[in-house]
Amino acid sequence: MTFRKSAGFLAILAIALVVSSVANAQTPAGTLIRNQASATFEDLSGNTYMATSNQVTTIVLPVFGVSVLPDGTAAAPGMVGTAIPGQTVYYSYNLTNTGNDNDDFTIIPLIDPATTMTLGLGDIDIYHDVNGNGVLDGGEPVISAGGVPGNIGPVSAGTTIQLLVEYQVPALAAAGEVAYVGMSATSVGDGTQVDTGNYHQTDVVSDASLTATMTGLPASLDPGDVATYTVTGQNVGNDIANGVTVASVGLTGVLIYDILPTNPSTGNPLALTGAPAGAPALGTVLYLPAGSPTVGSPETWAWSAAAAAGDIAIAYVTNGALAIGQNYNFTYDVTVPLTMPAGIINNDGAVAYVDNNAGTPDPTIVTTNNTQIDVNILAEVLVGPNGVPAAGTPPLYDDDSQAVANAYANQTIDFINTVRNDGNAADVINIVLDAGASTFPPGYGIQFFRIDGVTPLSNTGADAIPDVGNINPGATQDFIVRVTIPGNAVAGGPYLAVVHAVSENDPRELNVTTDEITAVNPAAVDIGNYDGAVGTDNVPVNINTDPGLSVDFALDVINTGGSSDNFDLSAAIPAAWTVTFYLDANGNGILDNPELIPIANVASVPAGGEVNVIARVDVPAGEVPGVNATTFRATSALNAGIFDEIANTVTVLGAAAVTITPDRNGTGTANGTVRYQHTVTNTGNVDDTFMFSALSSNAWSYAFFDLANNPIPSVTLVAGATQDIIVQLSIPGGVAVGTIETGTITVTGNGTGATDSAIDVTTIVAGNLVLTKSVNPVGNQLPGTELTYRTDYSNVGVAALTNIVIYDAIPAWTQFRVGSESDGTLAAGITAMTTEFSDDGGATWVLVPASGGGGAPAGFDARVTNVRWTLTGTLAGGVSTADGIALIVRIIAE
Amino acid sequence: MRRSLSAAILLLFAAVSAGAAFAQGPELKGEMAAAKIVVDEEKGEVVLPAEKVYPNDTVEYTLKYTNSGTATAAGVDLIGPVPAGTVYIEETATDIPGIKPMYSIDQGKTWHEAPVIIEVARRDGTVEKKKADPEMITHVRWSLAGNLDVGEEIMVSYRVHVK
Repeated sequence: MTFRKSAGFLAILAIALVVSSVANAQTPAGTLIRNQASATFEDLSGNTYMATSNQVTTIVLPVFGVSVLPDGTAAAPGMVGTAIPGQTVYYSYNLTNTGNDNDDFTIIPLIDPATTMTLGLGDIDIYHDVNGNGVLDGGEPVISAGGVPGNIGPVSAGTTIQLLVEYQVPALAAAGEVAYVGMSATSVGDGTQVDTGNYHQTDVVSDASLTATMTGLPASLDPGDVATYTVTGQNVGNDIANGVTVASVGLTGVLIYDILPTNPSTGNPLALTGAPAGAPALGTVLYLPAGSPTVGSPETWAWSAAAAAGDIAIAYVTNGALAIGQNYNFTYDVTVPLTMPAGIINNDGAVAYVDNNAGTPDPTIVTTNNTQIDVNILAEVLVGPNGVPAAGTPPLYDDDSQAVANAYANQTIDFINTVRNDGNAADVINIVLDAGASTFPPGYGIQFFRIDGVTPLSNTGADAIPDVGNINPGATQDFIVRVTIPGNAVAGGPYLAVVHAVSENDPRELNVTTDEITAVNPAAVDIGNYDGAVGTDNVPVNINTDPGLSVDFALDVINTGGSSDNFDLSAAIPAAWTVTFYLDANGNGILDNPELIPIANVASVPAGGEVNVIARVDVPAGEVPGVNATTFRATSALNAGIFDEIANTVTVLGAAAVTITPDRNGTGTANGTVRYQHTVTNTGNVDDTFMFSALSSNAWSYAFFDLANNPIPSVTLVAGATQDIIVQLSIPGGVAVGTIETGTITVTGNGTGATDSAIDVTTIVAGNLVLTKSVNPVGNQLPGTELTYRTDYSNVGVAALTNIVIYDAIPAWTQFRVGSESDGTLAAGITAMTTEFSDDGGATWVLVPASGGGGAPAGFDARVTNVRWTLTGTLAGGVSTADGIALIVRIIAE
Repeated sequence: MRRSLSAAILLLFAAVSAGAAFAQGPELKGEMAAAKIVVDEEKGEVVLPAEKVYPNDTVEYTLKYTNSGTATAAGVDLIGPVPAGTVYIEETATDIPGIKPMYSIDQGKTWHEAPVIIEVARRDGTVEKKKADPEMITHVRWSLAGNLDVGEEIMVSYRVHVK
């Protein structure tokens, strides 16, 4: 059974929604009340987070209760009926389970002591009126027979059943006798829950007596179906039943009438349909127009013989009196509207007549039993975009969708959907993702939330499926479909989340809506050169530098993705170069002192955000001139495959330099030669050929040789290379002994002009005094090491030498140890030595060394530049010493 | 419209909050507790476990949130739903300076101070403003006026009536 969704129906429901009230039914026993708190908060960067609590669960326990209607006492009976002697009477009661769980009830009849009729409890039976038609039908079970308590059940919580109390008026009863009969119902679940009393009154008469029974068929139906009501009865009395006069139409007869049941969702009466028919024949069908009052005796109401839309009651007036034993009936149809809520339609009718006893009030009104027709639950669900649950093409409404054009990696996209219960009963509506039809790739998350955005949809119904809760007919409920896009999402789309809203009342009933992300954009980053404004400059930048310096590149890193991201910083630079990144906190493009904290990445850059960084590149000393690629890269932490680069360059400038070391001291003889060894090093970053030249203080000549003794005018050295050379001084003949020759040896780059000089000082001595100098320890030494220099002397000539003075210079970066001068073992013929010190390169010899002199450490004197030994005696030809004069110096360590 | 429902629930991915990838930052840990409140003539209010209740019982929900992260949390909103089968009991939500409760009658979509005023359409088309029935309250929310520093906790409560 189904019905089409009707626009008119929906409009009415919309009104009903505004004025809807919440049902007051008790929470059923066994219900699990689940609750879960949630919180949202931010960090100080404005990123939003969510935290849910544990879920607490409470189970609802059963409570029991019972209600029997109508109430009544002997003084104020709930129902009054008449009967002639011997007549069997029936009184209909409603028993409602007012607890929250299924229950059985114990039923027993009651008789009030005011009863004058001869009646015992054993004379009373109570039946279950299964079809609720007010008539004891065959097969309907007796609950309490002969006054013995009996049980009925189980009765569902909130459900009402009908009971019939039956007994026979004794055949010998006299008119005027009365019976007050009631019933008691006791909950089996809780024996303290009792509804007792409920008395009705039966008067014994000797007059007309009409029975009146209403039936409603079918027992259950769907909205839109037709219900047929029939009122039947008989004059079971012993006199005729006279008619009432319906003034508005001028007709007199027994009036059978019914105030039509209403649709609770609209308040309107159910519309009559078809052709009402009554018996005995020749009567007239009457209608009570909309808005007519229904107070006072029914014959006084504004009945009309013409039907009209909105009639609120219907009647049949017989043509005159009903004879003894005569039957009557009245049948009419009503249409149950599409808007009819599921549940029970209660209805009862009545018949009005005038008896033959002038002493009793007229008319006599006999009310029928209450008849119930069950309106079936009709599930109808609509779901659609926010506020438009009925979107889509009728009749299925399944093709509606909403779309977000662009979304980004690491984003969450919330789609608000609205579901509406177009059924006729409150319904728990499940929300289910159609996995087969949805197209989001693996890694994406799809979750359902309440409209608060933080509470996940959970199951509140009878199944295990998340739902939007119990929705009253016509009501709507919004919920959120949240799509979480992974950080490493690649470009793609469109992607669909196909969402089903499914009735829990009828799981076959579902409606579809689709939430679409048309395009997903991956994480993205732009790194470029600092431009001092929003955005960046992607034009490569070159920085010139000399070797051994560092250069700073000011960079902008922009998150061009759609969500917050971290970016790792890296660079492709020449080997042996280093790069360090710093945050340019004040964004001025300059690395300031407070910013000298190295970073490896920039964190939490919001979508569209820009961060300024400085890349400091250290260029090694000796780096050759040229253009070097220095490419900087920013890589997304969300997706390592996403990065951007700026291809800058560093141009290393040519830096020419050369050294020639060390300065040398020596002695020579006239007509002799002296050879000094020097080391030439290309300390620049440019290959070059270095030319030799010498400037003699005496205009003497110098020549240059390699270590293989080949004359050379120059050496060609690549950057960083070194070569030893020999500088040879030729001393002219006739030069006076004691003459000092100072030669300035210069190397000059042929291409670069880089130049350096060494000083060779040569003292002209007589004969053939040869000095041999040694050092101990030999080899490379650490600062602080003390070096012992010893100079052995020998006369390699024939003639004896006298007035010998031996000079020694304190090397640079060393300091003289006070008292370390030593005469060694005097050579044969040398009788004594005098040692003197100079602090001015040998110009004067008056210095007396002192510990700490010149700021040296204790035991040393930094002022000493030269030391000389004046030998007393004669050094004959061929005489020598292998333990010559000596001194100790210390390599400066401070 | 009527078809067999073959689609199963699918959660492709267990979503976490967007900031969870970063260990640094605020982190709120929440606990919710339910207690049954009964009134004893001599002892006054007595707090009992709320694992089992009867219709018409009163249940108090207590929310406790602690900042167990490493940074201050700002803009803290705590939300307590009124679960199905219960009705919010007016004036039971914690209301102290700096933590003023707000109420929603639309599942947390919009928030209002108490009393919540609604507009009801009369049959003649006019609109009547009236106080919302407590049964309409779906959520209670507290917005913390200040920040929640590391290690600090906040506790609020509200009561519901079991229908």
